[in-house]
Parts: sequence; C-alpha cells; structure tokens
Amino acid sequence: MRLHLGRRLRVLPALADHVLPSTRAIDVIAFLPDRLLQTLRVVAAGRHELTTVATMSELDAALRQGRADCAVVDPQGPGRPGAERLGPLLARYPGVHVVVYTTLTADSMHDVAALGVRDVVLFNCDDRPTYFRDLLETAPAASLTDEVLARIEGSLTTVRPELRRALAELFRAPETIRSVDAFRRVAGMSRMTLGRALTKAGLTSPSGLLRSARVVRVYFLVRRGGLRLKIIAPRLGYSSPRKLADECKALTGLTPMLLSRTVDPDEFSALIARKLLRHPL
Amino acid sequence: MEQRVFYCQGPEAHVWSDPDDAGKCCNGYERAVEIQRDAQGNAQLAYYWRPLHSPVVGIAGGVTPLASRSMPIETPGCAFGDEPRRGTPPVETHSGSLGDEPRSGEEGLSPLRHIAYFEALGASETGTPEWEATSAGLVVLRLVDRWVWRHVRERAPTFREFVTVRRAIARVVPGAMRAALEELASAVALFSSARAAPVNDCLMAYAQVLQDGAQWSLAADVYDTVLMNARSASDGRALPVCAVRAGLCLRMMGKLREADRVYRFGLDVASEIGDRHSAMLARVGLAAVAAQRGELPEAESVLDQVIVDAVGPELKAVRAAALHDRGGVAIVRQEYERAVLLLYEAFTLYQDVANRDRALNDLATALGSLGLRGAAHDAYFVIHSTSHQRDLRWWAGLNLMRLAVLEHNESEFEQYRLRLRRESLTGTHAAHYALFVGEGHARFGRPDRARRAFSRAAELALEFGLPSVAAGAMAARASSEVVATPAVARVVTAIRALAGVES
Repeated sequence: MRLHLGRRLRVLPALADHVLPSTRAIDVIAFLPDRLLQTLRVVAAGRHELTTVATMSELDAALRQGRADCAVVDPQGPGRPGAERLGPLLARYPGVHVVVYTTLTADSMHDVAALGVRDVVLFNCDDRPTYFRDLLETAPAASLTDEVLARIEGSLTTVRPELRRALAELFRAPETIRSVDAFRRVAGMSRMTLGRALTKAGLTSPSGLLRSARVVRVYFLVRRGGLRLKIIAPRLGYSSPRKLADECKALTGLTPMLLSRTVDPDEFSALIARKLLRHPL
Repeated sequence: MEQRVFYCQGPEAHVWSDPDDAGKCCNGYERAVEIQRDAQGNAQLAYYWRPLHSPVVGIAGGVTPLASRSMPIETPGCAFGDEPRRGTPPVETHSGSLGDEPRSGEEGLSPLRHIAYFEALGASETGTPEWEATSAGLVVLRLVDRWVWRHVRERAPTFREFVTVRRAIARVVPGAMRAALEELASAVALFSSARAAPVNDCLMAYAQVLQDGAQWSLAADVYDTVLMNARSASDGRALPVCAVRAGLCLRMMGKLREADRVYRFGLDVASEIGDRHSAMLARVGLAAVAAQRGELPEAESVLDQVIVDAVGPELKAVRAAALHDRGGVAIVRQEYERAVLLLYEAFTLYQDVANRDRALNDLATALGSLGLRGAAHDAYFVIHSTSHQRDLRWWAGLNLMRLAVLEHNESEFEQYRLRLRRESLTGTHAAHYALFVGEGHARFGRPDRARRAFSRAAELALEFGLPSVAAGAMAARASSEVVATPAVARVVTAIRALAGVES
C-alpha cells in the first residue's frame, strides 16, 4: 500500500512532444527517393516549406536561389549521385545546413562518412517526426553558430583537436553541456589544462564560453522562433527567465528581446566573436 | 508490532510498506491500475507496476561489472627470428572519434558522432555477420544518444524505436556481442524515464567485446561515448578505467598522440578521485606510448618505478601490466633473456585470460628470438587454438606461418597461409601477412608469387604507415628479383625434385 501521496504529476514524454510551441517556418529543399520523401512530408506538414527536387541540376538551381535554410538529401537518392557528386555541389552553398536522410546500407554509410556532415537521420531507425522536426528547426541555428565559430577560426586552428571538437559541440548544443565540468569532460582535459589551453589560444575562460554559447542559442530562439524566455530558460539550464535576461545583458548590453529586434545576425556573430576572444583584434 | 516502512530511491523518497514496491518506485516503473469485476459485477481496483513508457522488458539492471584489470598490453609486431619487430604500431582503416584528426575547414568543426561506425559500415558488405553486428551497434548507440539527452530535449525514446533496435540486435549472430547489445538496449528500455541507469556500465561491457574482437576504432568510439555521457559520481569513478582502455585502443590504431592525451586525462581524474590502481595503469599506458615512439629510456624508468610502487595484492594487475610492458621494451632492446623472465612473471601475475594470452604471445616472441623455436611454437599454437581475442589469434597464426618458413616446413606454412587467407585481415595484420607469405614463397622456390606478395606487402605497409614492414618488403622484393639463368634454374628444379617438392 502506498502511504505517501504528495507526488507531482509526471509529464509523460508523449505529451511533452506537443508542449513545445511551433517555430517560424523553415525552407527545406528535399532531394530524396519517394519512400523517404513521404516521411519528410509528414515531418514538414503544415509547419515548414518543402521544395522537392528530382535531379542534381534542380537541386543546384534550388540552392542557388538562396532561400533555403536546410537541404535534406540522400546521396543514394534520385540518380544515385553518391558523395563524389553531391559533396562538391553542397560545398558551394555553405550557408545551407545539410541533413543526410538515408537508409542503412553500405553505399549510403560510405557516402555519409565521405560527406562529413554532422546531422544524419537513418530511415526507419531515428526518423521519428518529432526528432526530425527538432533537427530541421535548429538548422538555422547551426548556420549562426558556424558563423560565430568561423569568426574565431584563427584561434581554433591553434587548439588541440579535442578542444576544438568540444567547442563546436558546445556551440551547436549548449543545452547538453551545462557546466564547466561537463565542458572539460567533453574536451578530455582537467580544469587547469583547459584554462591554460584557452588562454594560450587567446580565447576567453571556460565559463565565458559557456555563457556566450547559451546567449547565441537564446538569440536564435527569440529571433527566429519567437519563443518566450520562460520556455527557453529551463531548456538552457537557467533557473529563471530573469537569470537568462541578466546574463544576456551582461554579455551583450541588451536584453534578449531588444537584442533580437535591433541586432542583425551578422552584427550579432561579430559581437559574440569579440567576446570570445581574450584580445579582440 | 511496529510496521516497517521502506523508502524508494527517487528524489522524493516515497514511503512504502512493501520492499518490492519501494524497489520499483521511481526506478523505471510506474504505478498502474486495472479495473476488474468480481462475481457480482462489482468493480475492483488492482494496482501493479509497469515499466515506464516501454513494454519492452529485458534483463533487469543489465549491469556488467567492470573488469578489475582492463589494460591489455600491445601485441608485438609478431615477427621474431633475425629481426624482432616488436613495437610496430598496428593501424586500422577506420578512425575513431576519440582520435579524430582535425580536418580542413568546416569538417574539422562538425564531426559526425560515431563516424567510426559509418566508416566501418561503408567499408563492409551489407548483410554479412560483421555488417549486422556493426549496424546494430550504431542503431543502439544512436538510441543511447537520444536517451542521454531525453530530459533536455524533452523527447524520450518511443516503443517503435525500441522495436527497431531489438530487430537490429536480433539479426546479430548469437554470442558475446549480441548479449552486450541486448543488455545495453534493455538498460535503456527499462530505465527510459529514470534519471540514472547503468547504461555507461553496459557501454563499457560492449566496448570490451569490441576490443576483444580487435575492432579498435569502434571500441574507441564507444569509450568516447562513455566519457561524453558521464554525469553521476559512479560514472566519474569509471572515467579513469575508461580512459585507460580507450588509450589502449588508440595505441593499437597507431594514434599515439591521442592515446597520450587520453592516458593523461585518465591520470588526472584518477589522481583527483584517489584511484591509485587506475592512476598507475595510466602511467603504464603513457610509458607504453613512449616506448612505441622509441623513447625507450623514459619508458623504462617509468615502468621500473611502477614495478617498485605496485606492491600488494590489490595492485597485482598493475604490477603485471608494468612487467609486461617492461618485457616488451627488453625485446626491442634485444635483451631476450631478461624479456623472457619479465614476461613470465607478468604471465603468472595476470588473473584474466585476455591479458595472460597477450603476455604468453609476447613470451613466445622472446623465446623465439632466443632461438627456442619449439617453445615459441607451442605457445603460439595454444594462443591460436584457444584465445578469444581475434587479433591475438591472427598474430599467433602469422607467427606460426613465419616459424614454418624458418623451419622449412612447407606443409605447415601452406596450412596457416590458407587459414589466414580466409580471415578478413585488416591494416597491419594484412601487411604482415603479405610480407610473410612472400618470405614463404621465396623460401619454397616460388619467386613470382613471392614478388607479388612483397609488392602487396609494400603497398599495404605504405598505406597503413608501417615503415619497417615497407622497408622489409621492398628489400625482399629486390633480392627476389635475382633471376637464375635457365641453366641454374634447371639445377634448382632438379634439386627440388630430389627433395620431393613440387614447383
């Protein structure tokens, strides 16, 4: 018999799937075989703009228009171009975030490794619509973080690969690295070694990096998705929306709302890059 | 009599009168109710526990205890005789994420998680047992990734995802690999909504199976996942062990810089939490890296110090590891007698079969180098017939093949050549195989085939960065290009006929 009844109602994940508010529509270009396209249509239905292309030249033309946020491609899709043909084409459009959606076969796995993309969705394995939608909706954030990291590329080339990887991971998914301790673990270094390595590379402190990564994500979520701070704060590990706003203001001089309305992405990435460098040029 | 109460392990410490209920509360189960009707049609409520969000029920807990000794020492480069080649860093075709080299531009910033798996799958054939095992591993690891971040992303794995994973695992050949994957999937399924679960322990067990199968890059990738996922205090305690194991995998892949870095990380963490056993193992690993780099005096001094410090039964495995590596350094220095004694002591100290096999293999190399080929043959034969470590069996087979060449035993040479040809040798094994096959063909009067084998060995050695093998193969190829004049060739044929050997 249960004697204590003061237990909170647990929110089941199945319900939580519908809790997150929708974000602004994403322009997605799909270069996929029919079977995979059907799933993507379900993912994008009613929320995002989906442009389907059936040939490499159509894909090129669609990317050239410059409207797409994200391209979902299968290297073994129409015409089986493989990584050899698809890679150079996608490399011409660095602003477009690429997601490989493919089946688990030797050829496609070879192509995935050769393309070197970060986001891969496997057909019938992890193409649950909610995950897939999350991935698409954070695609523009990936472009923003890439831009920030590109601005400090000079410093990144001097650090060890594991630290470089940890930095990329931090900016791409700040919600998953919530403390300096977690960050040093991802980098595989002790606190002292990490601090020394960052100083040597001319980068700010580990906690400074964490703050900047979180503010980049806040900027994206507020500007692009129009999300409210009380929804963003717990996702990024802030104890309250106020804490979030304070940290954003301390770093950029502006509240999240003002920042998202008055500072464009280019200016914002330059501002963050300056904060990341110990001695900005 | 006072009623006893039991607390659950959850943060709110719910109170129960039944210990079974307390065990299940906040521990991967939720309280459910079923309405039943009695004979009169009255409704009655029956409470029971059901696994949270997943009807997939597997092994409860699925905890695999960490092995007390987890640091097998490098296998020698397998040759002995005139020129022992211990210390040749084996290299594999795939690169683990732990040891990812920075790539140019964007690629360096965006590593795909578990890229070692994608590369391994891309290089293998769909539908083979190896493919099924690797693809199931990838699917399970991606499930683990999603499970790890379930609270942050507010998305827990669904029933459908578990079914997909179970199907992938069902296609794996029954054995240790399948059992490890099943335990891992069960741990995720049973603890799908719990805050803590023994998933990292299961990952360690899975990585150990990969390591036993000489799948170094995949094992390194799984260890990397463990390091990335570590959160709780118990995870933290496992970090040094994980780092030491990861270091070994990286060393076996020839990634010495990364191995050095992981060992240092393990040493830092072990020192922080006072884990003397792992700290000393990390020091042994660092010494082994130094030895592989050719910094023998430094390696010797560190190993000698560890041998002196590792006193007491709890540090027996550490002492064995240090003696083992010290023996390896003695082989490189051509101090074979000393090596035999050191390696035999290591062999007797080791408690686990895997490391005993490795020590025995190195002991055989030292014995063979001393000229005691009979003893070496026996040791290799035992390893080749009984070891569960694939790479060790390969090395023993290669050494037996080379012994047969040195002993002029053509039938045994052919026997091992054909046996090894059926194996899917990669990297350094394949290069050594080609080299020894070339030596065999040259010894048994088949110069054309010998030349082809030496060329292949040189190609592979260059591809996998094995300069000593490349040099040996090229020198052997050059010497085999001495063509006998037709008259001399007739004499050679006649002599071979006398000896009863077909050309």
